Amino acid sequence: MRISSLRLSGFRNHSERTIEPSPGLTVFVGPNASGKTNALEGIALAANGISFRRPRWEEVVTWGSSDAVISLEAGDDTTHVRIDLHVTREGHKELKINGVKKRRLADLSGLLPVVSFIPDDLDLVKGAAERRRMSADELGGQLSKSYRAIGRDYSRVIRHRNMLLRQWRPSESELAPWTEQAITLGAKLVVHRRRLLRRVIDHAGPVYSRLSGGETLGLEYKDRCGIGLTDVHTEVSEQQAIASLESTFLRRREEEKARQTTLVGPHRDDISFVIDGREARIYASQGQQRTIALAWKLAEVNVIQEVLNTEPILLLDDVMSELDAARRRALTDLVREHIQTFITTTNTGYFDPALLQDAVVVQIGSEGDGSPSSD
Amino acid sequence: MAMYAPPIARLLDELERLPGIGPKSAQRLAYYILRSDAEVAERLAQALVEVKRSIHFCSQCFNFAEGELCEICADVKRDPSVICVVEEPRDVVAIERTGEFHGRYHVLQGAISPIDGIGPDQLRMRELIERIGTGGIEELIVATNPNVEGETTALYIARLAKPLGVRVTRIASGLPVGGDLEYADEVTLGRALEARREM
Repeated sequence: MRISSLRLSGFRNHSERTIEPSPGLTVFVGPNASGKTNALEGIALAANGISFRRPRWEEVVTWGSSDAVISLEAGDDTTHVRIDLHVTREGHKELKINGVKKRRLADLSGLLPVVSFIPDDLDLVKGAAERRRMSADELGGQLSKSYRAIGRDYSRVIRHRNMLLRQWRPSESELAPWTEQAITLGAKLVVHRRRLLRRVIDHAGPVYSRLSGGETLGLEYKDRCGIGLTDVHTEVSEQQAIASLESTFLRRREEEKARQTTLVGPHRDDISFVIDGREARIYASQGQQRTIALAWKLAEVNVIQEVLNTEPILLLDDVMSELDAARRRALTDLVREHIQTFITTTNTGYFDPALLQDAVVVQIGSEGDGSPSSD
Repeated sequence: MAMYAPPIARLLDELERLPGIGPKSAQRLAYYILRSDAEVAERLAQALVEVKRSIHFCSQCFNFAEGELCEICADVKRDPSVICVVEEPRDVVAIERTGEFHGRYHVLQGAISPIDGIGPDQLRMRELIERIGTGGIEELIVATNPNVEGETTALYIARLAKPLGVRVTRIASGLPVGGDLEYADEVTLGRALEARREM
Protein backbone atom coordinates (compact mmCIF):
# COMPACT_ATOMS: atom_id res chain seq x y z
CA MET A 1 0.00 0.00 0.00
CA ARG A 2 1.08 3.56 -0.62
CA ILE A 3 0.18 6.74 1.16
CA SER A 4 -1.68 9.12 -1.12
CA SER A 5 -2.34 11.88 1.37
CA LEU A 6 -1.09 12.98 4.77
CA ARG A 7 -2.66 15.68 6.87
CA LEU A 8 -1.08 17.02 10.05
CA SER A 9 -3.06 19.38 12.22
CA GLY A 10 -1.88 20.73 15.58
CA PHE A 11 0.88 18.14 15.41
CA ARG A 12 4.21 19.33 16.86
CA ASN A 13 5.22 22.39 14.81
CA HIS A 14 2.73 21.71 12.00
CA SER A 15 -0.37 23.78 12.70
CA GLU A 16 -2.05 22.67 9.48
CA ARG A 17 -0.36 20.91 6.63
CA THR A 18 -1.48 18.57 3.91
CA ILE A 19 1.05 16.66 1.88
CA GLU A 20 0.38 14.61 -1.22
CA PRO A 21 3.38 12.35 -1.50
CA SER A 22 4.75 10.60 -4.51
CA PRO A 23 4.08 6.88 -4.84
CA GLY A 24 7.87 6.62 -5.16
CA LEU A 25 10.17 9.08 -3.45
CA THR A 26 9.12 12.08 -1.38
CA VAL A 27 11.85 14.34 -0.01
CA PHE A 28 11.24 16.72 2.88
CA VAL A 29 13.77 19.53 2.52
CA GLY A 30 14.38 22.29 5.03
CA PRO A 31 16.80 23.72 7.55
CA ASN A 32 17.38 22.12 10.93
CA ALA A 33 14.45 22.32 13.39
CA SER A 34 11.99 23.11 10.62
CA GLY A 35 9.79 20.07 11.24
CA LYS A 36 10.99 17.57 8.67
CA THR A 37 11.38 14.78 11.17
CA ASN A 38 8.03 15.71 12.72
CA ALA A 39 6.38 14.99 9.40
CA LEU A 40 8.06 11.56 9.26
CA GLU A 41 6.99 10.91 12.83
CA GLY A 42 3.40 11.76 11.91
CA ILE A 43 3.48 9.04 9.28
CA ALA A 44 4.99 6.51 11.69
CA LEU A 45 2.41 7.26 14.39
CA ALA A 46 -0.60 7.01 12.13
CA ALA A 47 0.70 3.94 10.35
CA ASN A 48 1.99 2.03 13.31
CA GLY A 49 0.85 3.67 16.57
CA ILE A 50 4.42 4.15 17.71
CA SER A 51 7.25 6.29 16.43
CA PHE A 52 11.03 6.12 16.49
CA ARG A 53 10.97 8.98 19.02
CA ARG A 54 8.71 7.13 21.47
CA PRO A 55 7.04 10.33 22.63
CA ARG A 56 4.64 10.79 25.49
CA TRP A 57 1.36 11.40 23.71
CA GLU A 58 0.70 14.84 25.17
CA GLU A 59 4.07 15.98 23.73
CA VAL A 60 2.91 15.69 20.13
CA VAL A 61 0.17 18.30 20.44
CA THR A 62 1.23 21.76 19.24
CA TRP A 63 1.70 24.19 22.10
CA GLY A 64 -1.52 26.21 22.42
CA SER A 65 -3.56 23.74 20.38
CA SER A 66 -6.22 21.61 22.07
CA ASP A 67 -5.53 18.51 20.03
CA ALA A 68 -3.49 16.97 17.26
CA VAL A 69 -4.90 15.15 14.26
CA ILE A 70 -2.98 12.96 11.84
CA SER A 71 -4.93 11.65 8.88
CA LEU A 72 -3.54 9.25 6.34
CA GLU A 73 -5.03 7.87 3.19
CA ALA A 74 -3.40 4.89 1.61
CA GLY A 75 -4.21 2.23 -0.88
CA ASP A 76 -3.22 -0.06 -3.66
CA ASP A 77 -5.03 -1.53 -6.65
CA THR A 78 -7.59 -3.33 -4.55
CA THR A 79 -7.89 -1.61 -1.19
CA HIS A 80 -8.21 1.83 0.23
CA VAL A 81 -7.68 2.70 3.86
CA ARG A 82 -8.12 5.86 5.82
CA ILE A 83 -6.51 6.25 9.22
CA ASP A 84 -7.40 9.09 11.59
CA LEU A 85 -5.45 9.46 14.80
CA HIS A 86 -6.65 12.09 17.20
CA VAL A 87 -4.62 13.03 20.29
CA THR A 88 -5.81 15.45 22.96
CA ARG A 89 -3.66 17.71 25.08
CA GLU A 90 -4.27 15.31 28.00
CA GLY A 91 -2.72 12.51 25.96
CA HIS A 92 -5.99 10.67 25.18
CA LYS A 93 -5.95 9.14 21.77
CA GLU A 94 -8.64 7.99 19.44
CA LEU A 95 -7.99 5.85 16.41
CA LYS A 96 -10.33 5.41 13.49
CA ILE A 97 -9.71 3.06 10.62
CA ASN A 98 -12.00 3.79 7.67
CA GLY A 99 -14.15 5.85 10.00
CA VAL A 100 -14.62 3.00 12.48
CA LYS A 101 -13.41 3.68 16.00
CA LYS A 102 -10.81 1.19 17.27
CA ARG A 103 -10.13 0.40 20.87
CA ARG A 104 -6.41 -0.19 20.55
CA LEU A 105 -3.57 1.26 18.53
CA ALA A 106 -2.48 -2.37 18.12
CA ASP A 107 -5.30 -2.67 15.59
CA LEU A 108 -2.93 -0.92 13.20
CA SER A 109 -0.57 -3.90 13.24
CA GLY A 110 0.17 -5.17 9.78
CA LEU A 111 -2.08 -2.65 8.02
CA LEU A 112 0.55 -0.19 6.85
CA PRO A 113 3.95 -1.51 7.91
CA VAL A 114 6.78 0.97 8.25
CA VAL A 115 10.55 0.65 8.24
CA SER A 116 12.22 3.72 9.70
CA PHE A 117 15.91 4.49 9.68
CA ILE A 118 17.12 7.35 11.86
CA PRO A 119 20.63 8.44 12.88
CA ASP A 120 20.21 6.70 16.29
CA ASP A 121 19.87 3.38 14.47
CA LEU A 122 23.53 3.65 13.53
CA ASP A 123 24.21 2.72 17.18
CA LEU A 124 22.56 -0.66 16.61
CA VAL A 125 25.82 -2.58 16.96
CA LYS A 126 27.52 -0.82 19.86
CA GLY A 127 24.57 0.83 21.60
CA ALA A 128 22.64 -0.56 24.57
CA ALA A 129 21.13 -4.04 24.28
CA GLU A 130 17.69 -2.47 24.68
CA ARG A 131 18.02 -0.83 21.25
CA ARG A 132 18.60 -4.21 19.60
CA ARG A 133 15.73 -5.87 21.50
CA MET A 134 13.40 -3.02 20.59
CA SER A 135 14.42 -3.14 16.94
CA ALA A 136 13.41 -6.80 16.89
CA ASP A 137 10.23 -6.45 18.97
CA GLU A 138 8.91 -3.45 17.08
CA LEU A 139 9.31 -5.31 13.82
CA GLY A 140 7.62 -8.34 15.36
CA GLY A 141 4.77 -6.13 16.56
CA GLN A 142 4.17 -4.95 13.01
CA LEU A 143 4.14 -8.49 11.71
CA SER A 144 1.76 -9.97 14.23
CA LYS A 145 -0.75 -8.72 16.75
CA SER A 146 0.09 -11.68 18.99
CA TYR A 147 3.76 -10.69 19.07
CA ARG A 148 2.73 -7.15 19.95
CA ALA A 149 0.33 -8.30 22.69
CA ILE A 150 2.87 -10.69 24.19
CA GLY A 151 5.55 -7.98 24.24
CA ARG A 152 3.18 -5.47 25.82
CA ASP A 153 1.90 -7.89 28.48
CA TYR A 154 5.37 -9.20 29.24
CA SER A 155 6.82 -5.75 29.89
CA ARG A 156 3.85 -4.94 32.10
CA VAL A 157 4.46 -8.11 34.12
CA ILE A 158 8.14 -7.18 34.53
CA ARG A 159 7.22 -3.65 35.68
CA HIS A 160 4.83 -5.10 38.27
CA ARG A 161 7.32 -7.70 39.39
CA ASN A 162 10.16 -5.17 39.72
CA MET A 163 7.91 -2.86 41.72
CA LEU A 164 7.03 -5.77 43.97
CA LEU A 165 10.68 -6.71 44.52
CA ARG A 166 11.74 -3.13 45.14
CA GLN A 167 8.93 -1.78 47.28
CA TRP A 168 7.04 -4.60 48.88
CA ARG A 169 9.47 -7.16 50.35
CA PRO A 170 7.10 -9.72 48.88
CA SER A 171 6.31 -13.07 50.41
CA GLU A 172 6.84 -16.14 48.25
CA SER A 173 3.10 -16.42 47.68
CA GLU A 174 2.88 -12.81 46.46
CA LEU A 175 5.82 -13.17 44.10
CA ALA A 176 4.93 -16.61 42.70
CA PRO A 177 2.04 -15.59 40.39
CA TRP A 178 4.15 -12.83 38.86
CA THR A 179 7.01 -15.26 38.31
CA GLU A 180 4.60 -17.70 36.68
CA GLN A 181 3.35 -14.94 34.36
CA ALA A 182 6.92 -13.86 33.57
CA ILE A 183 7.71 -17.47 32.65
CA THR A 184 4.64 -18.08 30.47
CA LEU A 185 4.87 -14.79 28.59
CA GLY A 186 8.67 -14.67 28.61
CA ALA A 187 8.86 -18.12 27.00
CA LYS A 188 6.47 -17.03 24.23
CA LEU A 189 8.43 -13.83 23.68
CA VAL A 190 11.84 -15.50 23.47
CA VAL A 191 10.57 -18.17 21.07
CA HIS A 192 8.90 -15.60 18.80
CA ARG A 193 11.89 -13.29 18.96
CA ARG A 194 14.32 -16.04 18.01
CA ARG A 195 12.18 -17.05 15.04
CA LEU A 196 11.96 -13.44 13.90
CA LEU A 197 15.72 -12.93 14.23
CA ARG A 198 16.28 -16.04 12.14
CA ARG A 199 14.33 -14.40 9.32
CA VAL A 200 16.15 -11.09 9.80
CA ILE A 201 19.66 -12.54 9.72
CA ASP A 202 18.83 -14.79 6.76
CA HIS A 203 18.16 -11.59 4.79
CA ALA A 204 20.68 -9.27 6.47
CA GLY A 205 23.58 -11.72 5.96
CA PRO A 206 23.57 -11.75 2.13
CA VAL A 207 22.86 -7.98 2.00
CA TYR A 208 25.82 -7.33 4.27
CA SER A 209 28.10 -9.54 2.19
CA ARG A 210 27.12 -7.70 -0.96
CA LEU A 211 27.66 -4.25 0.56
CA SER A 212 30.94 -5.16 2.24
CA GLY A 213 32.48 -7.05 -0.64
CA GLY A 214 32.31 -10.55 0.74
CA GLU A 215 32.53 -10.37 4.53
CA THR A 216 30.10 -12.63 6.38
CA LEU A 217 27.67 -11.37 8.99
CA GLY A 218 26.32 -13.61 11.73
CA LEU A 219 24.04 -13.10 14.71
CA GLU A 220 24.21 -14.54 18.21
CA TYR A 221 21.32 -14.56 20.63
CA LYS A 222 22.55 -14.27 24.21
CA ASP A 223 19.64 -15.08 26.43
CA ARG A 224 19.19 -14.58 30.17
CA CYS A 225 16.51 -17.26 30.21
CA GLY A 226 18.85 -20.19 30.79
CA ILE A 227 18.42 -21.53 27.25
CA GLY A 228 22.01 -20.92 26.16
CA LEU A 229 21.57 -21.57 22.43
CA THR A 230 23.12 -18.61 20.59
CA ASP A 231 22.31 -19.81 17.07
CA VAL A 232 18.79 -18.65 16.24
CA HIS A 233 18.58 -21.35 13.58
CA THR A 234 18.23 -23.86 16.40
CA GLU A 235 14.52 -24.03 17.09
CA VAL A 236 13.62 -23.66 20.76
CA SER A 237 10.17 -24.91 21.73
CA GLU A 238 7.93 -23.05 24.14
CA GLN A 239 8.08 -25.97 26.60
CA GLN A 240 11.87 -25.90 26.45
CA ALA A 241 11.89 -22.16 27.14
CA ILE A 242 9.44 -22.59 30.03
CA ALA A 243 11.61 -25.30 31.61
CA SER A 244 14.76 -23.16 31.25
CA LEU A 245 13.07 -20.09 32.70
CA GLU A 246 11.62 -22.06 35.62
CA SER A 247 14.95 -23.49 36.69
CA THR A 248 16.79 -20.20 36.16
CA PHE A 249 14.27 -18.25 38.23
CA LEU A 250 14.65 -20.82 40.98
CA ARG A 251 18.43 -20.67 40.87
CA ARG A 252 18.59 -16.88 41.01
CA ARG A 253 15.81 -16.33 43.53
CA GLU A 254 18.03 -15.04 46.34
CA GLU A 255 20.02 -12.84 43.99
CA GLU A 256 16.81 -11.28 42.67
CA LYS A 257 15.69 -10.48 46.19
CA ALA A 258 19.04 -8.92 47.03
CA ARG A 259 19.17 -6.84 43.86
CA GLN A 260 15.41 -6.14 44.00
CA THR A 261 14.81 -6.56 40.30
CA THR A 262 13.91 -9.23 37.75
CA LEU A 263 17.19 -10.70 36.50
CA VAL A 264 15.83 -13.56 34.43
CA GLY A 265 13.95 -13.30 31.15
CA PRO A 266 13.98 -11.96 27.60
CA HIS A 267 13.90 -8.33 28.77
CA ARG A 268 17.59 -8.81 29.56
CA ASP A 269 18.59 -10.82 26.50
CA ASP A 270 21.12 -9.42 24.05
CA ILE A 271 21.71 -9.79 20.35
CA SER A 272 25.25 -9.54 19.07
CA PHE A 273 26.65 -9.37 15.57
CA VAL A 274 29.65 -11.28 14.32
CA ILE A 275 31.73 -10.34 11.27
CA ASP A 276 33.90 -13.13 9.91
CA GLY A 277 33.76 -14.82 13.29
CA ARG A 278 34.73 -11.74 15.32
CA GLU A 279 32.38 -9.91 17.64
CA ALA A 280 31.31 -6.70 15.91
CA ARG A 281 30.66 -4.81 19.14
CA ILE A 282 34.38 -4.94 19.87
CA TYR A 283 36.07 -5.16 16.50
CA ALA A 284 33.83 -3.51 13.90
CA SER A 285 34.97 -0.25 12.29
CA GLN A 286 32.58 2.70 11.95
CA GLY A 287 31.97 1.73 8.36
CA GLN A 288 31.20 -1.90 9.23
CA GLN A 289 28.80 -0.83 11.99
CA ARG A 290 26.91 1.38 9.60
CA THR A 291 26.74 -1.39 7.06
CA ILE A 292 25.28 -3.75 9.68
CA ALA A 293 22.66 -1.16 10.63
CA LEU A 294 21.79 -0.65 6.97
CA ALA A 295 21.69 -4.41 6.28
CA TRP A 296 19.30 -4.82 9.26
CA LYS A 297 16.94 -2.18 7.86
CA LEU A 298 17.00 -3.67 4.38
CA ALA A 299 16.29 -7.05 5.98
CA GLU A 300 13.28 -5.53 7.78
CA VAL A 301 11.91 -4.54 4.38
CA ASN A 302 12.40 -8.10 3.12
CA VAL A 303 10.87 -9.74 6.18
CA ILE A 304 7.78 -7.54 5.93
CA GLN A 305 7.42 -8.43 2.25
CA GLU A 306 7.85 -12.10 3.06
CA VAL A 307 5.50 -12.31 6.05
CA LEU A 308 2.82 -9.75 5.22
CA ASN A 309 3.08 -10.01 1.48
CA THR A 310 3.01 -6.24 1.16
CA GLU A 311 5.51 -3.43 0.61
CA PRO A 312 6.43 -1.43 3.71
CA ILE A 313 6.77 2.34 3.71
CA LEU A 314 10.33 3.46 4.19
CA LEU A 315 11.06 6.47 6.40
CA LEU A 316 14.63 7.76 6.29
CA ASP A 317 15.51 10.55 8.67
CA ASP A 318 18.65 12.40 7.72
CA VAL A 319 20.69 9.25 7.27
CA MET A 320 21.91 10.04 3.78
CA SER A 321 24.61 12.36 5.13
CA GLU A 322 25.84 9.50 7.34
CA LEU A 323 26.32 7.00 4.53
CA ASP A 324 28.73 6.86 1.64
CA ALA A 325 27.60 6.79 -1.99
CA ALA A 326 27.44 3.00 -2.33
CA ARG A 327 25.34 2.57 0.80
CA ARG A 328 23.09 5.49 -0.14
CA ARG A 329 22.48 3.73 -3.41
CA ALA A 330 21.47 0.53 -1.61
CA LEU A 331 18.70 2.53 0.04
CA THR A 332 17.58 4.54 -2.94
CA ASP A 333 17.50 1.36 -5.04
CA LEU A 334 14.47 0.39 -2.97
CA VAL A 335 12.59 3.31 -4.47
CA ARG A 336 13.17 1.78 -7.87
CA GLU A 337 11.82 -1.47 -6.45
CA HIS A 338 8.51 0.27 -5.89
CA ILE A 339 8.84 0.96 -2.20
CA GLN A 340 7.30 4.24 -1.20
CA THR A 341 10.03 6.22 0.51
CA PHE A 342 10.12 9.41 2.55
CA ILE A 343 13.46 11.09 3.18
CA THR A 344 14.32 14.17 5.21
CA THR A 345 17.40 16.14 4.31
CA THR A 346 18.88 19.60 4.63
CA ASN A 347 20.50 19.24 1.25
CA THR A 348 19.18 17.55 -1.88
CA GLY A 349 22.79 17.40 -3.12
CA TYR A 350 23.03 13.90 -1.63
CA PHE A 351 20.65 12.56 -4.22
CA ASP A 352 21.11 11.21 -7.64
CA PRO A 353 19.54 13.85 -9.96
CA ALA A 354 17.83 11.10 -11.93
CA LEU A 355 16.08 9.93 -8.80
CA LEU A 356 15.04 13.45 -7.83
CA GLN A 357 13.45 13.98 -11.21
CA ASP A 358 10.53 11.71 -10.36
CA ALA A 359 10.39 12.72 -6.71
CA VAL A 360 7.99 15.01 -4.91
CA VAL A 361 10.11 17.56 -3.06
CA VAL A 362 8.32 19.19 -0.16
CA GLN A 363 9.82 22.34 1.32
CA ILE A 364 9.42 22.38 5.07
CA GLY A 365 10.21 25.45 7.14
CA SER A 366 9.70 29.17 6.95
CA GLU A 367 9.95 29.77 3.20
CA GLY A 368 7.76 27.03 1.85
CA ASP A 369 5.43 26.41 4.75
CA GLY A 370 1.87 25.72 3.81
CA SER A 371 2.52 25.38 0.10
CA PRO A 372 4.23 22.17 -0.87
CA SER A 373 5.99 22.50 -4.18
CA SER A 374 6.45 19.49 -6.31
CA ASP A 375 9.10 19.29 -8.96
CA MET B 1 -17.36 37.54 32.25
CA ALA B 2 -19.73 35.07 33.86
CA MET B 3 -21.37 32.91 31.21
CA TYR B 4 -23.67 31.16 33.67
CA ALA B 5 -25.58 32.24 36.75
CA PRO B 6 -23.67 30.88 39.77
CA PRO B 7 -26.11 28.01 40.56
CA ILE B 8 -25.88 26.75 36.98
CA ALA B 9 -22.11 27.04 37.03
CA ARG B 10 -22.05 25.00 40.23
CA LEU B 11 -24.24 22.28 38.72
CA LEU B 12 -22.05 22.15 35.59
CA ASP B 13 -19.00 21.92 37.77
CA GLU B 14 -20.42 18.93 39.68
CA LEU B 15 -21.64 17.15 36.54
CA GLU B 16 -18.27 17.49 34.85
CA ARG B 17 -16.65 15.62 37.73
CA LEU B 18 -18.58 12.50 36.74
CA PRO B 19 -16.77 9.91 34.62
CA GLY B 20 -17.45 10.15 30.93
CA ILE B 21 -19.03 13.59 31.22
CA GLY B 22 -17.26 16.42 29.41
CA PRO B 23 -18.28 20.10 29.23
CA LYS B 24 -20.77 19.51 26.41
CA SER B 25 -22.56 16.57 28.04
CA ALA B 26 -22.63 18.49 31.33
CA GLN B 27 -24.29 21.40 29.58
CA ARG B 28 -26.84 19.14 27.92
CA LEU B 29 -27.72 17.48 31.24
CA ALA B 30 -27.92 20.80 33.07
CA TYR B 31 -30.26 22.30 30.47
CA TYR B 32 -32.42 19.20 30.54
CA ILE B 33 -32.77 19.52 34.29
CA LEU B 34 -33.47 23.25 34.07
CA ARG B 35 -36.22 22.73 31.53
CA SER B 36 -37.80 19.83 33.43
CA ASP B 37 -40.37 20.04 36.23
CA ALA B 38 -39.02 20.64 39.70
CA GLU B 39 -40.17 17.11 40.51
CA VAL B 40 -37.64 15.57 38.11
CA ALA B 41 -34.76 17.37 39.82
CA GLU B 42 -36.03 16.37 43.24
CA ARG B 43 -36.36 12.71 42.31
CA LEU B 44 -32.81 12.75 40.95
CA ALA B 45 -31.44 14.50 44.03
CA GLN B 46 -33.25 12.09 46.32
CA ALA B 47 -32.02 9.07 44.41
CA LEU B 48 -28.45 10.32 44.71
CA VAL B 49 -28.71 10.94 48.46
CA GLU B 50 -30.58 7.70 49.05
CA VAL B 51 -28.08 5.52 47.20
CA LYS B 52 -25.18 6.86 49.22
CA ARG B 53 -27.11 6.58 52.50
CA SER B 54 -28.50 3.10 52.08
CA ILE B 55 -25.99 1.15 50.00
CA HIS B 56 -22.93 -0.43 51.50
CA PHE B 57 -20.98 -3.62 50.88
CA CYS B 58 -22.51 -7.06 51.44
CA SER B 59 -20.80 -8.54 54.48
CA GLN B 60 -20.33 -11.86 52.71
CA CYS B 61 -19.49 -11.17 49.06
CA PHE B 62 -18.68 -7.41 49.09
CA ASN B 63 -21.06 -6.61 46.29
CA PHE B 64 -23.24 -3.54 46.80
CA ALA B 65 -26.07 -4.32 49.17
CA GLU B 66 -28.96 -2.56 50.81
CA GLY B 67 -29.17 -4.86 53.80
CA GLU B 68 -26.51 -6.81 55.68
CA LEU B 69 -26.42 -9.30 52.80
CA CYS B 70 -26.88 -8.54 49.12
CA GLU B 71 -29.88 -10.03 47.32
CA ILE B 72 -27.83 -12.85 45.85
CA CYS B 73 -26.24 -13.92 49.13
CA ALA B 74 -29.64 -13.67 50.82
CA ASP B 75 -31.30 -15.82 48.15
CA VAL B 76 -31.53 -19.38 49.55
CA LYS B 77 -32.12 -20.79 46.07
CA ARG B 78 -28.58 -19.87 44.99
CA ASP B 79 -26.02 -22.66 45.15
CA PRO B 80 -23.67 -21.89 48.05
CA SER B 81 -21.05 -24.43 46.93
CA VAL B 82 -19.95 -22.47 43.84
CA ILE B 83 -18.47 -19.00 44.07
CA CYS B 84 -17.69 -16.79 41.12
CA VAL B 85 -14.83 -14.42 41.95
CA VAL B 86 -14.94 -11.07 40.14
CA GLU B 87 -13.08 -7.78 40.35
CA GLU B 88 -15.93 -5.25 40.51
CA PRO B 89 -19.66 -5.11 41.32
CA ARG B 90 -20.36 -4.32 37.67
CA ASP B 91 -18.88 -7.72 36.76
CA VAL B 92 -21.60 -9.36 38.89
CA VAL B 93 -24.18 -7.59 36.77
CA ALA B 94 -22.51 -8.82 33.57
CA ILE B 95 -22.51 -12.45 34.70
CA GLU B 96 -26.05 -12.26 36.12
CA ARG B 97 -27.25 -11.07 32.74
CA THR B 98 -26.12 -14.35 31.19
CA GLY B 99 -28.59 -16.23 33.38
CA GLU B 100 -26.16 -19.16 33.31
CA PHE B 101 -24.74 -18.89 36.79
CA HIS B 102 -26.66 -19.95 39.87
CA GLY B 103 -23.98 -19.82 42.54
CA ARG B 104 -22.83 -16.89 44.60
CA TYR B 105 -20.17 -14.23 44.11
CA HIS B 106 -17.14 -12.77 45.73
CA VAL B 107 -16.20 -9.22 44.72
CA LEU B 108 -12.49 -8.55 45.21
CA GLN B 109 -12.91 -4.83 44.58
CA GLY B 110 -9.96 -4.73 42.22
CA ALA B 111 -7.03 -6.80 40.97
CA ILE B 112 -3.48 -7.23 42.17
CA SER B 113 -1.40 -4.42 40.69
CA PRO B 114 1.89 -3.54 42.42
CA ILE B 115 2.44 -0.54 40.11
CA ASP B 116 -0.74 0.98 41.55
CA GLY B 117 0.13 -0.07 45.09
CA ILE B 118 -2.49 -2.82 45.19
CA GLY B 119 -1.53 -6.13 46.73
CA PRO B 120 -3.72 -8.96 48.09
CA ASP B 121 -4.14 -7.09 51.39
CA GLN B 122 -5.77 -4.16 49.60
CA LEU B 123 -8.38 -6.53 48.14
CA ARG B 124 -11.06 -8.74 49.73
CA MET B 125 -8.68 -11.69 49.48
CA ARG B 126 -8.47 -12.57 53.18
CA GLU B 127 -12.27 -12.54 53.32
CA LEU B 128 -12.38 -14.99 50.40
CA ILE B 129 -10.05 -17.39 52.19
CA GLU B 130 -12.13 -17.06 55.35
CA ARG B 131 -15.25 -17.87 53.35
CA ILE B 132 -13.60 -21.03 52.05
CA GLY B 133 -12.55 -21.84 55.60
CA THR B 134 -16.16 -21.88 56.80
CA GLY B 135 -16.69 -24.92 54.55
CA GLY B 136 -19.28 -25.99 52.02
CA ILE B 137 -17.51 -24.41 49.04
CA GLU B 138 -16.53 -26.85 46.30
CA GLU B 139 -15.63 -24.68 43.34
CA LEU B 140 -14.27 -21.19 42.71
CA ILE B 141 -14.84 -19.86 39.21
CA VAL B 142 -12.31 -17.07 38.75
CA ALA B 143 -13.75 -14.45 36.42
CA THR B 144 -11.20 -11.67 36.80
CA ASN B 145 -10.39 -9.64 33.68
CA PRO B 146 -8.31 -11.31 30.94
CA ASN B 147 -5.46 -8.78 31.29
CA VAL B 148 -2.10 -9.09 33.03
CA GLU B 149 -3.42 -7.99 36.44
CA GLY B 150 -6.55 -10.14 36.26
CA GLU B 151 -4.58 -13.24 35.19
CA THR B 152 -2.08 -12.75 38.00
CA THR B 153 -4.90 -12.33 40.51
CA ALA B 154 -6.41 -15.58 39.20
CA LEU B 155 -3.08 -17.39 39.64
CA TYR B 156 -2.75 -16.03 43.17
CA ILE B 157 -6.23 -17.28 44.08
CA ALA B 158 -5.56 -20.69 42.55
CA ARG B 159 -2.38 -21.11 44.57
CA LEU B 160 -4.17 -20.13 47.75
CA ALA B 161 -7.39 -22.05 47.30
CA LYS B 162 -6.23 -25.36 45.82
CA PRO B 163 -4.41 -26.52 48.99
CA LEU B 164 -7.71 -25.94 50.81
CA GLY B 165 -9.29 -28.66 48.69
CA VAL B 166 -11.36 -26.37 46.48
CA ARG B 167 -11.65 -26.85 42.75
CA VAL B 168 -10.49 -23.67 41.00
CA THR B 169 -11.55 -22.93 37.41
CA ARG B 170 -10.95 -19.96 35.15
CA ILE B 171 -13.51 -18.67 32.68
CA ALA B 172 -12.41 -19.13 29.10
CA SER B 173 -11.75 -16.02 27.12
CA GLY B 174 -12.05 -16.17 23.42
CA LEU B 175 -14.44 -15.83 20.59
CA PRO B 176 -17.69 -13.98 20.99
CA VAL B 177 -20.67 -16.14 20.04
CA GLY B 178 -21.92 -15.37 16.57
CA GLY B 179 -18.53 -14.03 15.57
CA ASP B 180 -16.91 -15.41 12.47
CA LEU B 181 -13.45 -16.93 12.85
CA GLU B 182 -12.35 -14.91 9.88
CA TYR B 183 -12.97 -11.64 11.66
CA ALA B 184 -11.56 -12.55 15.07
CA ASP B 185 -8.27 -10.86 15.84
CA GLU B 186 -5.23 -13.09 16.28
CA VAL B 187 -4.91 -12.44 19.99
CA THR B 188 -8.49 -13.49 20.74
CA LEU B 189 -8.21 -16.45 18.43
CA GLY B 190 -4.93 -17.45 20.08
CA ARG B 191 -6.55 -17.39 23.52
CA ALA B 192 -9.51 -19.36 22.25
CA LEU B 193 -7.16 -22.01 20.87
CA GLU B 194 -5.27 -22.24 24.11
CA ALA B 195 -8.47 -22.69 26.06
CA ARG B 196 -9.84 -25.37 23.72
CA ARG B 197 -11.74 -28.29 25.22
CA GLU B 198 -12.24 -31.95 24.49
CA MET B 199 -15.35 -32.87 22.49
